[in-house]
Amino acid sequence: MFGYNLIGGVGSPTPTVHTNDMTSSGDLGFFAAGGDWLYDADETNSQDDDNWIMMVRPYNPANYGGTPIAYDTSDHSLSEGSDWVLYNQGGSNHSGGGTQLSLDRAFWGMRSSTSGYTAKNYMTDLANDLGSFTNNVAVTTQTERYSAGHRLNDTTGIFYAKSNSQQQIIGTYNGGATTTIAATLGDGPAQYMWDFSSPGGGTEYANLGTANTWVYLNTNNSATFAEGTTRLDMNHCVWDGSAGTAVTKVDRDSVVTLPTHTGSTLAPTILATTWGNILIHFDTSNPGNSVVYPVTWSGTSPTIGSAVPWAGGTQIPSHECYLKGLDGSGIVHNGTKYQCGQDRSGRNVDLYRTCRIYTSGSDLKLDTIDIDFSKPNGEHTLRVRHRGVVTFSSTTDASVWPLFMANNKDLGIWHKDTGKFHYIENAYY
Amino acid sequence: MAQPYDYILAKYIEIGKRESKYIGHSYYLSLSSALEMAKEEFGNTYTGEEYNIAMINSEVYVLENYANNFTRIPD
Repeated sequence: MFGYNLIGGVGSPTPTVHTNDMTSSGDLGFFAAGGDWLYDADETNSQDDDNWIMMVRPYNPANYGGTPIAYDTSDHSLSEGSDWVLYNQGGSNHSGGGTQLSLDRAFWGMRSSTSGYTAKNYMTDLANDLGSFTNNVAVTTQTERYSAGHRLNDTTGIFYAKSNSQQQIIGTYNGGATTTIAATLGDGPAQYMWDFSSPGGGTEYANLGTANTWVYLNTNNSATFAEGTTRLDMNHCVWDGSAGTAVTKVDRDSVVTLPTHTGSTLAPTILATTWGNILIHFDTSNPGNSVVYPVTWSGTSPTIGSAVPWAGGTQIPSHECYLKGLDGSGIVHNGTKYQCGQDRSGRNVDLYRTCRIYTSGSDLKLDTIDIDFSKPNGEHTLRVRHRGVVTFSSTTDASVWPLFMANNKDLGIWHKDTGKFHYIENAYY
Repeated sequence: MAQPYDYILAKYIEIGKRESKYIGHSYYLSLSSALEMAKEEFGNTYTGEEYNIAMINSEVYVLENYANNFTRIPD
């Protein structure tokens, strides 16, 4: 008997799927999205388009570019604007990544091959026509610290360098020309991470947790999650919010001994809740061994509860469910605030809307699901809302960028390999 | 395998092909794991800058040739 339910059926509205093709199948992911379809009542759209997405356009060695996309929810038409150059730092190749904090604001990391592979971190906001940056402030310039920007909450992000010299820098940004960053955590493998989140608390959508506080996961100062890795370390970090000040970090080594996971190398992920965190251990080879751990905090000290079996068991394996970054923070490479699936009805922010993608013949199919993580003992309920809503044809690549709509019912999702954007009405009705 | 670039690229593709079948995977983590494995393999044979350039060139290879669609890379 598994802990999930199939709901829907008689009386439930049937999902309606609207599909649009992108002009390119080589796009690299959303780094911001906004407008009426996504914003909460206290968020105001300053952009010209009512509903918009900023896509990172296909790779170009000379520069990194973006493509503005307008979406009309009345007729479900999608229009792509002209590509524009986000970053051109000179040299013959570039790479990096950016993530939206909120509204038109983002953190970016970018480097090129020029000047000894110089890397810069930026805080930036977009022009109303989505064709340029209004502000694009380089807050650091370094070599060998090759970063991307990652979201913690509406005003705070973390620049994480995975390069030869690992580094994390937290900063705050409210748009405009003013920026604030902390001192770095230092250089080296102690800064490696699989994922991060806030330690939870509060009730605001995509903003759970205490300001300027984050928790990141690794194993013995390593990012490699091998078959034999069972040690999990949690690193608790607090910044006072002042420019240039040091972050207080407390390493909590070996706080969890994960179950053995022979043949599975998908690293754990962490989500914020109103009461703490949910730590999710995947097992791609033996999905029935997947577990979640409840984590509660007293200051910098975590208490790890007993492991609870993943509610989907082997029928809805955890590694087929979109979970990483689902709380609106963590290591996603090019991402938006609205990849956060938390419930927006005001009733239960610990209820996460998400989806499952699984193999069906030579295709992939998508189910919409939700998971209630409101119990601090880690017991959770997984519900299948609609089965097989979308088919991604002739692909085995599960790379997707979801957008969870403000109406709490609809889901937008871009599947990278097929290059299609699907808008699913009543995905969670 | 004598160069960190060959090693990192091979590991990056191996990990990326395996994990891009899982929803929510991160090629960012695949790349850092590949770098870490190379440093374990070769130690101080190469400088930090050489590791960094090898990692960047591996990332750029997959971006430029396969737009980060790992499952399209031939075995």
